[in-house]
Amino acid sequence: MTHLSTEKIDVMALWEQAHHPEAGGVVLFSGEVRNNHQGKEVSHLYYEAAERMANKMIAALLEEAKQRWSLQVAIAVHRLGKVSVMETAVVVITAAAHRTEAYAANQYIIDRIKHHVPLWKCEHFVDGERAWGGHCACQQKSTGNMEL
Amino acid sequence: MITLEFFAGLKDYFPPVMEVRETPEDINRLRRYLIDQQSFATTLLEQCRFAVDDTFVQEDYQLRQGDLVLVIPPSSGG
Repeated sequence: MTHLSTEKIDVMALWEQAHHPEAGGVVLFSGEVRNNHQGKEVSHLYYEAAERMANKMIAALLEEAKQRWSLQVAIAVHRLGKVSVMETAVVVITAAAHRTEAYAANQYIIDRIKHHVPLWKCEHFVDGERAWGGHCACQQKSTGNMEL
Repeated sequence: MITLEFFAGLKDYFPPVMEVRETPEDINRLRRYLIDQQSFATTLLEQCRFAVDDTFVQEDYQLRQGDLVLVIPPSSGG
């Protein structure tokens, strides 16, 4: 399976694949493009990846999470190219016997995708400026850095 | 000779693909070489990771002729 998509992610189609008779908890995270960043109006995002490596890393990450949390299902797809406000940039779905494992695994997968997989966002602002690689809020808290 | 592939913000300083005729001994020397080439990109290059054969390599990784090296800025997916 490819974990990268240049096409709009069909979240509901992925959701349909996420159900399992042994899974009592299914968690879906959709990372979506918001219209502002640090007070600036965002026009859209553009995503790029070291594609072969990113795809392999996401596949390995899902397998690791399946083993660690005994997941029945683990799905992750990240968008590439231009992504508009309110569109899904990344989706992670985890299904486990109980919600605790499903939530924990989902959080782990999205954190690893954001911080370790070779994927990059370029923010395009309404005023015409652009900036590569804004860190997410959890890194801002831990480092104090608001930008690279 | 080795081939380098650059991504994201690094492409403001380097072409997407670049060949280096004299193979640097290791990643550390490659990093220093790139900083010498583009001092304006020093901060970003110091934060970069490097990968060979789609696997991250350490600073002392011994480069070989023909290696394809990915120069990987800090990730910002999601």
